[in-house]
Amino acid sequence: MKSFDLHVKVEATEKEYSMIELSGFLDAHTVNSFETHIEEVLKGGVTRLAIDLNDLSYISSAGIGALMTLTHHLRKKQGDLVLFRPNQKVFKILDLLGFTKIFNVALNEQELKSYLNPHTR
Amino acid sequence: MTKNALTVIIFALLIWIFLLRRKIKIFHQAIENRTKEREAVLSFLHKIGERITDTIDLQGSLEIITNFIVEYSHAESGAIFLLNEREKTMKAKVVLGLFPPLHKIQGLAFSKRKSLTEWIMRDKIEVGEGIIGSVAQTGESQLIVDAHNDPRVPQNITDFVPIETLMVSPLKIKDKVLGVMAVVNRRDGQNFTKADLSLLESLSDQAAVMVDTVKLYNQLANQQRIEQELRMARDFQSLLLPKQCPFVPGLDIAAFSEPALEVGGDYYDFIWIDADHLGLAIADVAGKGIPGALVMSMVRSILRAESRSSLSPASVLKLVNEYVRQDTQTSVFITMTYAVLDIRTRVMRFARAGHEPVITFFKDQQEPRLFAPEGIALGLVEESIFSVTSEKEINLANGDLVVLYTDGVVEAMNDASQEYGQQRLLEVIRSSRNGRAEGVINAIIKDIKVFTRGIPQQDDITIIAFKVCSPTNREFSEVASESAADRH
Repeated sequence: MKSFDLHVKVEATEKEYSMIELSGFLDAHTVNSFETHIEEVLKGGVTRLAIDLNDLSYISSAGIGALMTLTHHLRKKQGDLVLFRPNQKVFKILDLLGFTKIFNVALNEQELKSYLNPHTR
Repeated sequence: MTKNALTVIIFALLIWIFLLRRKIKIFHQAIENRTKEREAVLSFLHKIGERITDTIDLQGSLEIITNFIVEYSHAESGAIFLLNEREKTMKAKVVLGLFPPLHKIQGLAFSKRKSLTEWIMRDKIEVGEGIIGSVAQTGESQLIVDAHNDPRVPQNITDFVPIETLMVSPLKIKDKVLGVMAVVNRRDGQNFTKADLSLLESLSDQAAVMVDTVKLYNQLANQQRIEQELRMARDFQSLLLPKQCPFVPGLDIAAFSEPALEVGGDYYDFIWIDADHLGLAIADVAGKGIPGALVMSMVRSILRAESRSSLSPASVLKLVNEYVRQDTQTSVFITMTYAVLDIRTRVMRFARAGHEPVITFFKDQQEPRLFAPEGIALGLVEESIFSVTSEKEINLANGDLVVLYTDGVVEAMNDASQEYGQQRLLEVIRSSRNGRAEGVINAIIKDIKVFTRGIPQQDDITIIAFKVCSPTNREFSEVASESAADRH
């Protein structure tokens, strides 16, 4: 059986928001690693986070739970989380669960900017 | 032979004997050193063995090791540093005596001995930095006989805490460096020698094995504990499932649930709301181990209690959502499809809280109908957002088949990392749609097994299937003919 892994890359930390790129699998096995990486990013006081899901092949309920906790945490600090470019499969999972009503999902750059730009809020 | 020749021969012989004796002395010294080393190592292992009971804690073991090594080396101070693999830094775990910083530091002043030790424990050394970092990087031990004249010891720190002589040895398993051990200054004022270093190296090797073993042991113990918890959670969950399907006139019901080794659980339930209405629930808890089982139990009880309050599944789920949201962590949520079936009219109302779609094969239709009314998983959002969860009503008649399932079915994987998928599920239901409900479920299970080809189950698999069939008494047949006229 292939070993599933998660790769986290912190892409950019602009003043407005930090962008994280996820690739691989976000499930019960990799969730801890994900949370550790996020902790590092949040240490810098970041409250607005975007996660690029384009290369994320699979997300399980454990992964979604982790995203949920993160969103909750950021919103408590007047910030937010945006899920950027989930692929068809991941989007389907999010939609079925009704998470498209809870999370901000941006399908392109424009939507991303509008979610993260505080001036449009 | 001349007297002179004899004298020369005797003289040569004496020199030879002298040299031989020297050689023998050196040889004896080497043996003595080796013996000392061997004794030291054996004594070390014995001491460690004595001190280890059933709680193996890494810190305690490191303290024992450091104590021993400082003692046996006759050192004034010593420290053990462990490597953080991810950060590639070394951190002192144990410091004995007045152990000095061994890499460049700027403008520090310590007024108390305690603050020096505290500083050493807090200090992070990069791999490659200073003598400690360099030993960690190369995996080669270093002996500094005279620190005052050695470039490896930065001068600015020796005026501060006198460093006369020191030895540093890596803790390594095969070629993997786990940490570094260092001892500074001999108590008797002498310098450390190669023999001392050799002893330190032997002890460091033993220490490395110890550290590795303790780490592995802790990992294993942790894993076992987790596995035991999961087993308990699974056993607990199986108590919550219905022992058998309810007997309903005019309805052929079957159900199946098989837990996987890990992951939170599935559950399903049949609730008699009143004499004419049967509630059916299928759910999937997202949450690891024991918390998943407890949440499951809670949801089951709440649903049973609230099901009496209304025949509208969406209203019932709204109430359930409130309870679950308040009583669970942010990351815990439950997907659920809850249906209320009027067994006289065969009208089925259902709401879908983020769960998989409801599959229906109407008797007179070739293609299945999938229903996925708007909905959000339970336990996440407050009422105002949750109220997008809507209801769907369908009229069922003889021969209609309904299948509810959890995502463990469609996400079952084979060895090529492909998912079983919804299409294949629909196909296997289609090919068994004319048989009994139990036959449909058996066909699905069998097909999943064929597909996964022995790959262990990753997620819980739960299926409820029911078929509307001929009513068994006149009262029901009157109702059936009325509803047949109304059917869409």
